[in-house]
Amino acid sequence: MLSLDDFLEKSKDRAKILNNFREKTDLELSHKTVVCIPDLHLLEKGPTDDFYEGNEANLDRFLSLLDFLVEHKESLQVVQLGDMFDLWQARGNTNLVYEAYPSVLGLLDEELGSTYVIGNHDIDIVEWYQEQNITFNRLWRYFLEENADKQKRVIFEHGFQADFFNNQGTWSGAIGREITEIVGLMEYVYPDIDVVLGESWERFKRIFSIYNAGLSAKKNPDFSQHEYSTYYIDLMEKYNAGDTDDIEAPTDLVLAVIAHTHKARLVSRPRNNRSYYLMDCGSWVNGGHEFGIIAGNEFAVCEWEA
Amino acid sequence: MRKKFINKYLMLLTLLFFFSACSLSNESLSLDEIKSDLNCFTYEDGMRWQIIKEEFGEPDLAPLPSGKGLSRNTRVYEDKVVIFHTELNKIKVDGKTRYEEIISRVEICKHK
Repeated sequence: MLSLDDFLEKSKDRAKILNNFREKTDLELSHKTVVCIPDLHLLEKGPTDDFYEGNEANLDRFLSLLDFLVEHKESLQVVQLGDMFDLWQARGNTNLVYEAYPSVLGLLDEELGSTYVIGNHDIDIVEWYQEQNITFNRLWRYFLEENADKQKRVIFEHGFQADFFNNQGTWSGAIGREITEIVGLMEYVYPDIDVVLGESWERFKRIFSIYNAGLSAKKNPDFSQHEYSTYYIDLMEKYNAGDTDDIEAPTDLVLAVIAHTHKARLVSRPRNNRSYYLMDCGSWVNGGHEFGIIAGNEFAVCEWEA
Repeated sequence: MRKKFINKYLMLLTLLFFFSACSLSNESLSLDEIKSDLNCFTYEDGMRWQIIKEEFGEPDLAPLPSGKGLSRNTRVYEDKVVIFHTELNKIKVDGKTRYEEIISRVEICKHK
């Protein structure tokens, strides 16, 4: 296993901790180094492709991260956190995305043997051949239990499950998808419309957030730095108590790893004598270049410089 | 003055939203569904996909991948009805591992 410090050192300053998002627990989470790749939203390199953004440097930067991971693949596990493809806007499902990014997809699939969690923008992959049970190795959620006492201490989900307007299992998620697809078409007229409307929506939601109530951390002691922290701490407690129908329960979870929001954060909150953590690994869209690392009992959100 | 600007902005946004919504239609078919009306035979394999693309231009249809993996794809030209099966091929570029798409099989088809 590469420790977090080993990983940073071997990267020769290309990997850097983002905003001091680095934490340590008393429990061992993994005896492997796990690299968590957030949303990529790969398309066909066209005007709506927010990964490529008409700039080859964005692709080169991601390839240089993958090259580094391939170099150390014996001691690594890669988990892609969903929304690898943006099938809500794709011209030809995953087909023409493979044409645009053969090396990205070849390295993730063939060289790194990545584990894939499904996202709301690529959930179609598991729906095409649902009747034949063909899922292309996509998982709804994934548990890491690669530690000395074989305890499941880390849960990976995309994060849409906590998002009212993007939970694909509900009517509200279906409405959210339709609106997002329309905004995607509007990008042909104004490429950054998704960013502008996304920011406006976040500001609007914040006013009505029951945790933040439009207040800052100073004014409100219950201020949450992440809108999904309560959802995921509840989920981890539920799993730890064995209070689910999932055969994976009971667990010993302390860390939930997600993406979806495109806003990297690492937050913690104590509950019932345990510190729970939520690591949001950011994205590789609209200039984002973040990823998460878990090694031993340490974890961090990093950014990758070309 | 500001109110007027906001009204114009909202109207433009609504129009843009409406026209974008009207052009939403994107249903992919599986290869089996596309071939149901064609008679096909296998042509040859091993050619680079990019050569075909340069000759024929953009494919007209992009069917869903086969059930064997997302990297195994097929592309269709409607007028000629040629079907190319593709997969990823590992290569070395400046000492680094890279992948390119190659054609593993070509099907030439006619309408029944």
